[in-house]
Amino acid sequence: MEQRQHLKIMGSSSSGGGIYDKVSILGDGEVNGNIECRLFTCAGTVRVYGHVKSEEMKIRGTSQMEGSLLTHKLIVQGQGDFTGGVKVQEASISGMVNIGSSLQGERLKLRGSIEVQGDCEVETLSAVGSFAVCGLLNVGSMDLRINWNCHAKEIGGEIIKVRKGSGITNMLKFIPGIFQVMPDARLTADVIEGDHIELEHTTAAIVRGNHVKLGPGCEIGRVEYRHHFYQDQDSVINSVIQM
Amino acid sequence: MDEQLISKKELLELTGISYGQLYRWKRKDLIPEEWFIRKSTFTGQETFFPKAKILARIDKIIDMKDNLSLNELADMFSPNLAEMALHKSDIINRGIVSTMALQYFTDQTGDADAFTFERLIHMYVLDRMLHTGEMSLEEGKGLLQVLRDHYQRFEGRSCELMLVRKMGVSTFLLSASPGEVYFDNGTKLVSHISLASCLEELKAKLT
Repeated sequence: MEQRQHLKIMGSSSSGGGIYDKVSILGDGEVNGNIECRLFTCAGTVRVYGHVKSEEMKIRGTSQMEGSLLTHKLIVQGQGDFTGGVKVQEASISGMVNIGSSLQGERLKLRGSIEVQGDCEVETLSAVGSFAVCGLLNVGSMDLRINWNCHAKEIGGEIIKVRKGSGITNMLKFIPGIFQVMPDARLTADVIEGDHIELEHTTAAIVRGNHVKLGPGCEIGRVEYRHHFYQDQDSVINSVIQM
Repeated sequence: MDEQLISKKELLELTGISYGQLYRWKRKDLIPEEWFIRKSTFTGQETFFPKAKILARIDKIIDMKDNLSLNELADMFSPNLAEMALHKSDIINRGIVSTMALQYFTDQTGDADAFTFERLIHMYVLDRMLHTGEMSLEEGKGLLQVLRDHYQRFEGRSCELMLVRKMGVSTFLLSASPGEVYFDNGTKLVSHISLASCLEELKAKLT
């Protein structure tokens, strides 16, 4: 393989894009064009007007990408805005991410917040943060601990587990008075469909699945199940049908 | 082009697959996004599918999933051209197209020892159109020309091929699907085939 060069921006500068080994941005950078690299790191501010293809991307500052992203690994600890679609094998998000189109990935670990305007397709999703998916959230297995409000228009998948998180905000609510103003964190969705569904503190119009277990705090319009159904006494369900 | 639709619930009952499987196949691109038709009904929003297409696809997936991995299946169903080439002798031996179509194809576009997948699909469509008897040999030139010049523009998207005739003059149309086309009364839609399904058939023949 040919020897690839590094691109380093410190201070304020711009680049026309291209093919590199490492791209590191420490100050304020602007890339006008497509970029392909092995490692993309940003600790300052970067705006990319083009598509990005990389093996690994680490964002500690803020980045704004006006194109699509294709990467093996994505770590966001700052803020990332992506106008185009994002395709990633492994993503770990502890900052804030906005995706203007759709997200496709193998594994997504979410500690911060993510907003997806289109659909979100992930094989394994483990989340303690918050998400908002405007389209379909399609997951192989989802493990969500609710600490903040989460929303998706539709959720579909094999294993869907939603539990109350044990985060600090929930513990603080035990102190009466002071933290009462904070509304309960909930998951809301129009439709939730899957093979195994376990929900807590969820509001949904329709839940359909083979095995459905509804824990405390659920408000469900209609449940359609095939094999098993369990309902906590602390949940409100309008109608239950066995298919 | 009104197709009969089937609701998701009916589909699962009919085929015996679970929600999880359906969603997994969608994630793996075995079922294209445009087949998920969302409509609101009195019970809220429901998803519908084009009945004939989805049932055929699910049958195929269930049939082949023991032998092929989901990724291999996805390659087969994708509208992308496969990266492969085939020897001329193999084309005849394996009966991929008829010898007559092959002969005509090489007369028109030049002979070669091996054919790329792209040329194979042109050949396959030609063969299929000739077989139906709806297209004359002379019209085959127009078909090959439209495929050669424009098919690549649909890279990764599914498209349809139409043969229309008016007053004895024939025209070929390539259009992205899903899409709608309307003609005036004097025009006859002679043949209408989906290139995505041609690709699927060809890939199935090759594997």
